Amino acid sequence: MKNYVVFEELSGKILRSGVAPEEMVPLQAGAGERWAITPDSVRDDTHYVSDVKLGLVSPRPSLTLAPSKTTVAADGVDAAVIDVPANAEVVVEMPWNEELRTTVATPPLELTFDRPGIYRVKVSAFPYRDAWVEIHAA
Amino acid sequence: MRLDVRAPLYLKREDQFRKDAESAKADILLSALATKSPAEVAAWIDANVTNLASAKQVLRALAKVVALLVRRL
Repeated sequence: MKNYVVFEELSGKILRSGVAPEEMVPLQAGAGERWAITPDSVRDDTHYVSDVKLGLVSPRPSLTLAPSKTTVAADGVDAAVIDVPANAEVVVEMPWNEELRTTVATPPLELTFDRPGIYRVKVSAFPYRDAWVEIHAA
Repeated sequence: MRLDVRAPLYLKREDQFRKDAESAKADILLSALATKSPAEVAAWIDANVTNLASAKQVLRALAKVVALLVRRL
């Protein structure tokens, strides 16, 4: 039995992983997908295929978010500025249990809020690991 | 890129309602009446509403409460 991953051919993003008899591993990949045998079990949120030709699996680099400030005035003007990679996917979790999703075409990301509360910002920018930061609007 | 996170209108209305409700609760006249029985309220009115100015003071306080209640209809 072998550990394997199935990944996107272009990006190296791991789509799924598992354990299968070696001869069955190639059958796990569909169209536009590739497979690789890995020495250990790996997860898609922590690893990716850094060399798609060789099927080399590496840890996803961490993304450090350093907002200009973590507390802003809830006045719709005061902004927290966060440097994120271009085309990062951002999800803002609002205190009232709703989410706002966007793609940051032109970094940095400037966030303003008009209601007090704690806003959780998730940034996804493959191959970086997802990162979170909390902004307090007061 | 600027992202303006805005609260939905219903939440802003709720925030305003709570603010107005707190303001009403802080009204000295209303807070005094809040603990009285109907008979005590009637007695208080008889004793304290004696002219147009005092009547307007009570009406203003009552109108605050009515405005809050209407928003909940």
